[in-house]
Amino acid sequence: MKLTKTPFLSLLLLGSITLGAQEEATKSVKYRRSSLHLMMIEDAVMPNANVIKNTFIKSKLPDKYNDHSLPTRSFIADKYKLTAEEKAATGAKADSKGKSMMKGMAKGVASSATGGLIDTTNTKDLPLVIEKYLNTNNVAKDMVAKWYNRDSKGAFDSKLIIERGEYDASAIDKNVANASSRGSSALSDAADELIGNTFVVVTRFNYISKKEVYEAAQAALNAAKSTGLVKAPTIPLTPEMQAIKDAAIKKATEGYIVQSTSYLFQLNWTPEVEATFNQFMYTEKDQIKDNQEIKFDPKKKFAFDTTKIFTFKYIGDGKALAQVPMSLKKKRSEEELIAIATRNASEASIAKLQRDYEVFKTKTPLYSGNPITAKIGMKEGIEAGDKFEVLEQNQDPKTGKLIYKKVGKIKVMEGMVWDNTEKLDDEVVENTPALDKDGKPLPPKPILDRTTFKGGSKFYSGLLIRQVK
Amino acid sequence: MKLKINSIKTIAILLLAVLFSNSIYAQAGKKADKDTELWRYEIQCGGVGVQGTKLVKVFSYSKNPDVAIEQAKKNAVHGMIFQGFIGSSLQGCETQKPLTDNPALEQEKSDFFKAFFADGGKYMKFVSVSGDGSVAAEDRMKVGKEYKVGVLVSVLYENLRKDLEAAGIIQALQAPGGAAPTVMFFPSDVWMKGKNYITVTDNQGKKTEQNDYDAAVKDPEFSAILSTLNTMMNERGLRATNLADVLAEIKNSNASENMAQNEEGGGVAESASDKLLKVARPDIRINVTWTLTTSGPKKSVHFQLDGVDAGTSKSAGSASGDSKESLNGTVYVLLKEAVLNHIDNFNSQLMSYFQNITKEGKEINLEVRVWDTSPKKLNSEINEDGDELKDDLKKWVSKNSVGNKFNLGTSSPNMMNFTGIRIPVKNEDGSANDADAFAAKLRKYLKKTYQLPSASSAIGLGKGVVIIGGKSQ
Repeated sequence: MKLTKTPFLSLLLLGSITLGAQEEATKSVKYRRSSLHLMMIEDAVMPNANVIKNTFIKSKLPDKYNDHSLPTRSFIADKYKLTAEEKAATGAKADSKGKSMMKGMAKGVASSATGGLIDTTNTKDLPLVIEKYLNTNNVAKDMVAKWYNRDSKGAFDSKLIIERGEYDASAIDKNVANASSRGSSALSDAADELIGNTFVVVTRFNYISKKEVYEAAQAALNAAKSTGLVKAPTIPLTPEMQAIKDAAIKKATEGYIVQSTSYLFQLNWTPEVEATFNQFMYTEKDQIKDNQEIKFDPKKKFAFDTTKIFTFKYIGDGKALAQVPMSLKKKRSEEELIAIATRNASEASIAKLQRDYEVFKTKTPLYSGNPITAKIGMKEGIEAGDKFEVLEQNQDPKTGKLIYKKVGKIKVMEGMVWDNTEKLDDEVVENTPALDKDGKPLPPKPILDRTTFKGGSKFYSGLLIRQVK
Repeated sequence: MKLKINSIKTIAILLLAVLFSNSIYAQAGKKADKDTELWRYEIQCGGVGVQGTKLVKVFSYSKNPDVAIEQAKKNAVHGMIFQGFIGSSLQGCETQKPLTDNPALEQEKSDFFKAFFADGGKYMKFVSVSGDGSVAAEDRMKVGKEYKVGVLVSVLYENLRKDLEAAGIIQALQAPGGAAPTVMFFPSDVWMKGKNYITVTDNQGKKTEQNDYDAAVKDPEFSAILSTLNTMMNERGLRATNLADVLAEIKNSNASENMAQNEEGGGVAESASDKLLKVARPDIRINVTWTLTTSGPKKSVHFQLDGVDAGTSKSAGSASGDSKESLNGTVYVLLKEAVLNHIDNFNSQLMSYFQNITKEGKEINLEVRVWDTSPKKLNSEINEDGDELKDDLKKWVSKNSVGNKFNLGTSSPNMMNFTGIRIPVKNEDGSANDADAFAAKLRKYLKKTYQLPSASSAIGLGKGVVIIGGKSQ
């Protein structure tokens, strides 16, 4: 499998350039839900490895994503060490494309930003090692099988695709479907486009003592001082000041942090792969369907069982840190504290992916400009306080070229997030009135059919909004 | 007192604010109307709308984006009358012709259209913004100092057409004299064979296959689409005869005699559909075919409508196409979508054909045979000038055809084959004319003029047969 990497830094640089100019050519303004399979690399020698693993496996995926988890959620990287030939082959490829320098730059920036001082494990080859694991274990194929609901006999169906397609449908998709001859069945027609948004996120956790981080940082600082790169403070500290400093250092270096590095891989779902799958591998169980007799085809089952066409492409990585909280109101065991930190680190790494990669950014047109509303909500993972940039499409009257210009920034209002997680719009929800402290019923909350934002007054329906945080 | 002054001030400010805002809206409205008067818009297909509607996306221009959205409704109706839209494979729709092909119609009927498109005018009856009026991000753009906004609009196309026809603004889908063709849908032979809806009869060792239409009308997909097609045709002013009804009628009224094989016709066998056509007597027979194609979990339908003259089987129009792929749609849903997509253009072809035959005459063939025992042969002299019977028959056919149009093929003392006879669509009494009626008319002429006994019949609707001397047998 060919390894392609979109350098993390280059993406960041690209983002800063386009945002700096406040305009960009957005290739696709259509947001589609992504389907994720979260995995972690096991490290038996890491302190509290079991706690971290158990917490990770039990962690809930944000509503914004389709849960595409496979039964195996972790693996031991050491079992998939690269051979000399594999290293040579992949290295040659990378060099030939001139990417090695970019890779180095990306790693350097990531390390310095996240205290990579103490992580002495060689992670340079980790994307290739993960890829080797994914290939060896046919993970891509298993993810395709999950999309098509493959049963134990090898028969597929489209129930899950249809279900997710309908769930993914936007308010505009529903408008079109309702007015069209095809009706609601049109909602799932574009569902196979969702398969292209299938990702595996492999996270490597590192459990680090904050004291170690401090000592490593101090050692690096001393080294810099000795070379004259950094000047020592010229004002000597009084004993009182020194005591305050020592106390502060002691407090700051108490406890641990959980560092997570997430490696993102996307399923290669090209038109060619899809066509090959449809023609030669897709077979359903014996049944009468559409007034026709369907027969299970063992040849197609065999073709799927033996194929190697399903692969991943490496997109990039992202790092995040989470502290193991030491001073909470409620007394908790060390295991509980580590579990909290693991969850936080895991969520932070997912959030980072969302910030860094366009495909994960929620995009939608404004439904109205005054008040500022949009037809997105909890289904897209929207929470109060989430920030969006407002983009206006501009067409050059002479050239016809289309660009998006940033015209403002808005924020989701508290208590005004639409719960659109229910599949059926007309489903009746039992609404038991909430009670105040005296037991009296509170006025019913307004039933929302859109999410309301604040942040400007010159917006109109149809302006594109894109999540920035 | 102070409170009173403050109140007066507040009221005055409010009044000014209301007046000012009204003035802004009025100005925006005026500008919008100006844009609308110039009909600055772009219209494109937005998908295949539900029955009776056209789903279009209209891009309108205005300095106020909200006004542009409102103007879209007006523009959509205007677009369907005067522009139509170009087909889009992406949206799965065919090119739609405008309701009028007269580019000067708007000027010629300016009073009508001014009132029709006035604010709150009648146009509003025929249009609605689809769904909640959401505008897709890619459909809203700033071009220079104004906005171009695309809105999905549903136009009640059938109602609009009927209304304009009733008002005499556009010509109705009918032939001169107000006639509209009668049509009858049949599943095609290919489809029947594919479904194995075939009966085999063994006649002294000779096996003959016949379509089993009773089985076809019980097929759930055909039954559903047949009903839809008949409804669509009736809505559009064409009279559809339902195959299932004709089959039932034949069973109930013992009309099977009409379907009996014509022994006297020289052993020429009629197909099952010919026999049905003889009972139903439509002007146009429409053969329906579709095939289901699957690609993995996706399916699509290829469909074909072939309209043929029920008498001659000459083509009267055709339409074919593929539905967009679907994961979840039933075959019926896909088929209906494909038909809706093509039906208007198809009907235009049928109407054009029908208008032509109304003017030029319906085409039939006629075969005249003479039994050995007949007192006269076709080469028997009938007068002192030496004219033979066949000369008089040629004169009779010429006199009774539209524009004296016919061809004479094989001719012998015992047989004459006339082809391409153009007969009036209607008889003098207004009833539908066909080959059977034409042959009967000849039979009566032979009896009255020459006291010749003869038998007349028809094979299907397009071929009349007269056998001179037949009744004496």
